[in-house]
Amino acid sequence: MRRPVLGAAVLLGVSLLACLGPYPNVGEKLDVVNLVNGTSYIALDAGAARILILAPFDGGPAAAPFTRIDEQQPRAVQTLQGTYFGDATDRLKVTFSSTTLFSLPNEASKPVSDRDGAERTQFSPPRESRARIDTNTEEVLDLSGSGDVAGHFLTLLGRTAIITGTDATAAACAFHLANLAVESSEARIPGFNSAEMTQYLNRVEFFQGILSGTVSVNLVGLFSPVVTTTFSNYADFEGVVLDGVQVSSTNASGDGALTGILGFRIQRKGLPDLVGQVDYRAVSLTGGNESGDYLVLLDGGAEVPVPTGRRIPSLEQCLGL
Amino acid sequence: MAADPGAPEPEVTGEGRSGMRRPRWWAVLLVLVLPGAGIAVAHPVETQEAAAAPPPEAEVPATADPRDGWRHEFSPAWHMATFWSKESGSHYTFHSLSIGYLMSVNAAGPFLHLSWVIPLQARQDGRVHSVSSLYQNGGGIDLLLGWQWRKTVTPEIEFEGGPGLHLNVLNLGGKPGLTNFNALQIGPGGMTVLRWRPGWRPHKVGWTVGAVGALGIDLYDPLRSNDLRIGVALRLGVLLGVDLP
Repeated sequence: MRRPVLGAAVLLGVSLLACLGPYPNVGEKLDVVNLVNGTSYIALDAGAARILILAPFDGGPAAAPFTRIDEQQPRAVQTLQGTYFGDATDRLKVTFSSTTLFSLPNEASKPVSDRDGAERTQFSPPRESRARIDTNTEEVLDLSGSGDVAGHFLTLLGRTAIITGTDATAAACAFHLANLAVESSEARIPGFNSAEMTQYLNRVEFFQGILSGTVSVNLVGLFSPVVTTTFSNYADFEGVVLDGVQVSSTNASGDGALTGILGFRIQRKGLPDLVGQVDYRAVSLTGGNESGDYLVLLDGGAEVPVPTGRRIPSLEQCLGL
Repeated sequence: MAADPGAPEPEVTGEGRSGMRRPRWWAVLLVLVLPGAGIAVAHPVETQEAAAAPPPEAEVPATADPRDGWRHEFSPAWHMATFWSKESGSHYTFHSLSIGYLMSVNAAGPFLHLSWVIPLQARQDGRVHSVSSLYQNGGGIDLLLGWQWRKTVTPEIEFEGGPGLHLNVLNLGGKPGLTNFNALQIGPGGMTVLRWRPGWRPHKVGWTVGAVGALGIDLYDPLRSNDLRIGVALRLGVLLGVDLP
C-alpha cells in the first residue's frame, strides 16, 4: 500500500512542478538500442562531432546495422539507428534506412521543469537517406549525399593514436573523447535532463552500450534529487570505454553539484590504452547546467582541471583533423 | 447502595450525552480520513440526533424534508477511462475496479465522489494488455466534486444528480525495463444516484442501497504537456450506506 501512495504523492508533486511530455506507449521499453559491432568513424564540422558505426556489409542489397551519433556543443545529441545496404547495380550507392532517433536537445536556457529531455522517435516507415561513397580506404570514408550521413570520416582508432603522453593537453583530449561517450549515453536514457527523470525514482534501470557494457540510472529523493549514473564496461563506439560513477545532487530547480569518479580507457591503434579518470567534485550545477572544472587524471600524470563548456583544445586539434 | 445525594447527578447524563456525540464525530472523521478503505457511514445528522431522543414521534418534525441530511456511502464500481493523445494520435483505454466514497448533503447541496482506482486492463490502439503484466504498484484516483439536487420518487426511493468538476489521476509504475505510465486529467463531469432508503432499521441501524453512474469529459492534462485531445471517464457501480444510530 505504501508504494501506490508514494507513487500518487510523486505524481502530485511532479504535476505541481513540471510537465512530463507526451503520453508514452503502454508497456513501452526503456531501452531499445540496437547493438552494432563494426568500425567506428569520426567526422568533425566546426567542433560538432559525427560518429558513424558501420557493421561490415558486402556492398550488395543485404542490410547491415549502422549507428550515427551527432554531438554538438553545448550538449546536444542525435543518434540515428537502422540498417544500410548497397545498390545491386552501383556499388558506390548506399541507402541508410533509419528506424530510431534518440535525441537530447540543447535546453540549457530552459528551466529544468520546462525541458523535454532525452526522447526517442520511431520511424515507421523507416527514414531513408541516400549517400554515395566517394572514398573508402582503410582509414578514410567519404560519404556525400544526404545530410543525415554525409561527411569526411576517419577511423576513430586511427585518430585516438594521435593522443600521446600524459600532459595537460593529452588529459584534456582524453577527457573530451570520454565525454563524447558520456553525452552519447545520456541521449538514450528517456527523460534525461528533464523532470521525467522522476520515473527512475527508487528504481535502477539499465541501458546497453551500442558496442558493449551497460549504464544504469537511479534517482533518490523527489525534491532534492540525487541521480546516480553508473557505467560498467560501457562503449558506444570504438576508442572509449567507461567504468565508474557520476552523481548529481541538486534541488528541484537543478542547482547543486556533481560528484563521483568516472574511469575511462582510450583505445589507440598500435598503442596501449590511455587510462585515466575524471573526478566531478569541482563541477557545480545551476539550473541543471554545468560550470567549474572536470579534474582529469591520466595514469602516470598529474591531475589537470579541464573547464566545462567549450572544448579546449578542440576535437579537431586533439585528433589532428 | 443509595446514590450520594451530594454527587453531581448531571454527570451521568452528561457522560451519556458525550457518549452519543463521540461516535458521531468519529464516524464523520472516519469517513473523511478513510474513504478509500470503503468505510462509509450513512448518518443524516438530524436523524441521529433524533434517534438519541426517546419519543420517535417527536424526533422528526412533520414538515421535515426527507431529502435533507447527509448521505455517506461506500461504492464499488467499474471504472473506464478512455482518451486520445494529440501527438501520437493514440487511443488509450483503461478498465479498472474502483472503490469509492460518496457524500452529498441536503435536497440541494454539494457532493463528493472520491474513488481509489485499481487498473486491471490497458489498451492502446487495439492492443490489449493485462496491467499486472506490465506495471507494478499501479493505482489512481477519480474525484468528482460538484453540486447536486435530490428528488424523491416515493418516500423510500430517492434520485440525486448534478454536475461537477472531474479529476482522473493514473499512476502505473513500470516493471523493470519498462516506462511508467501516468496521467492527470481534468474536465467537467456529472453524476446520478438512485437510492433506496427503506424505513426498516434493524437494531436502529438504517441502511441504503442503490446505484451510481458518473461521467467525466476530460479536456486538459497538465502533467503531460496537455497531450490530451479528449478523454471520457465512466464509472458505474452500486452503493451501500449505513445510518449509524
